[in-house]
Amino acid sequence: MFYDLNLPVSATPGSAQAAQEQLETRKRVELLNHLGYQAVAYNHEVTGKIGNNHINPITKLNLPGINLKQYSRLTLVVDDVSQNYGLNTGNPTISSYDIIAVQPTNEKLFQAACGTFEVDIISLDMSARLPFYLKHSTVGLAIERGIYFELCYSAAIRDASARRNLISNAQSLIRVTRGKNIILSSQAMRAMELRGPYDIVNFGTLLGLNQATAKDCLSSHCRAVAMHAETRRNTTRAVISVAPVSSLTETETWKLGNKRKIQVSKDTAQKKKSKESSSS
Amino acid sequence: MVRFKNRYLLFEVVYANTPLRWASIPASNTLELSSTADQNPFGDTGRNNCQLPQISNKDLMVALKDSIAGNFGDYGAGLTQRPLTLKYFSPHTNIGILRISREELHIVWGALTFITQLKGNPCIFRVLHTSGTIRHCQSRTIAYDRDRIMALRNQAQLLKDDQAFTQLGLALKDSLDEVNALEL
Repeated sequence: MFYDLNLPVSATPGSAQAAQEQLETRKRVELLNHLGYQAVAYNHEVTGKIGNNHINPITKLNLPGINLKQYSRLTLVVDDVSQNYGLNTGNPTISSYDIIAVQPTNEKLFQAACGTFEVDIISLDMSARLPFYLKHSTVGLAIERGIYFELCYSAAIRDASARRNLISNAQSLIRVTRGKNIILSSQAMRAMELRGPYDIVNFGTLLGLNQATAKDCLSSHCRAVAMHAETRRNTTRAVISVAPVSSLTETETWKLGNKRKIQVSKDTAQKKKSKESSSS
Repeated sequence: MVRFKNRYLLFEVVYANTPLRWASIPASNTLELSSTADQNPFGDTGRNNCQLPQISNKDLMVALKDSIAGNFGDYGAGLTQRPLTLKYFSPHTNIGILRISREELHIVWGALTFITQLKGNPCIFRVLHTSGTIRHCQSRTIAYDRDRIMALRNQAQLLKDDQAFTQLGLALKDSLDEVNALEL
């Protein structure tokens, strides 16, 4: 199963460009589905601190009969060390998104993001020269905490100088992470900037990943990000989550165990009896 | 002496208006056709135009060689020059088979990924299958050709374009013959 965890959306609903953007989004999602992706995350990017009255602008498409998981994702571009960005699960504006990413712009914040921020993805602008060196000691902290680094390929498809920067930055990222904890995503503004999953796997091998790892960067690593986000949001200390019985699907009813089933059947039997007695 | 080993690469060219699995229905026809099961769940995304750009084999090879030279330089172009041939390309379904040497597969595939347009038409190259013999590529080609022509016919039927419908029927037969005639 292939994921594309970065499909940017920007316009707020109700604005003049909203209809145009909606059409562009549908085009991109249609093509993603055609290319064989089965999950997509719509990405909303915010620069600086997020306000308390911020509303999640992402609307998931209603796609009957199509096997496509949809996530909403927030990317916070952080640039001020002294600012408190409120990146914790208690913050309701933050937790209205499924996946949280940060894009640090200096080394101090990169360290903070790797070491302390409660996020799922660290995204770096790979299409320009990185303003700092990536160090194994810093990156190792993030890997230990199960945070993933993101490489976006669509800038490289758009122009040649971005391609050079991406290749060079990707090399250094792959060197310091030793190929671990990397995800590949598109960040495609237009449908024609998307590429098929296996084409991206091949591009990953050109960057210096081996073929199996490159495939994991689009599939199992992305799944790990989604699961990391899930445990961050909906669990108590990443151990227990509570869901109503009604949310179980037909194939999951075994989770209720025998006792519950017997209980249910007894209940219905009693109801039937009482109905019969009342009708007679 | 070790045999010279090839890879065969089956690729598809997707344009901005290539009809995908579902027929997109123009907004004006939606009411009339709302009962048909083939409606595109993504709505009208502008993929209802049967007129795709006509691309010849030569145009395609020029674009590919430019991309190899642009991304991998003279060295890459030199490495891939000799074994690189286009064995088959169908302008109806926009799929084709390339032959390349096994060692340079990644270079050529990477170059395909970075092609953004053909004769000014924005497009995506998507690799569907790679194999060591052309026989497997052939069987995949036939399956994909059939799927794609059926989608086009479906669309022609929805748009009530009888001429296109019959033409596509003939195209299906032609492409089958052509693929089967590829030398093994």
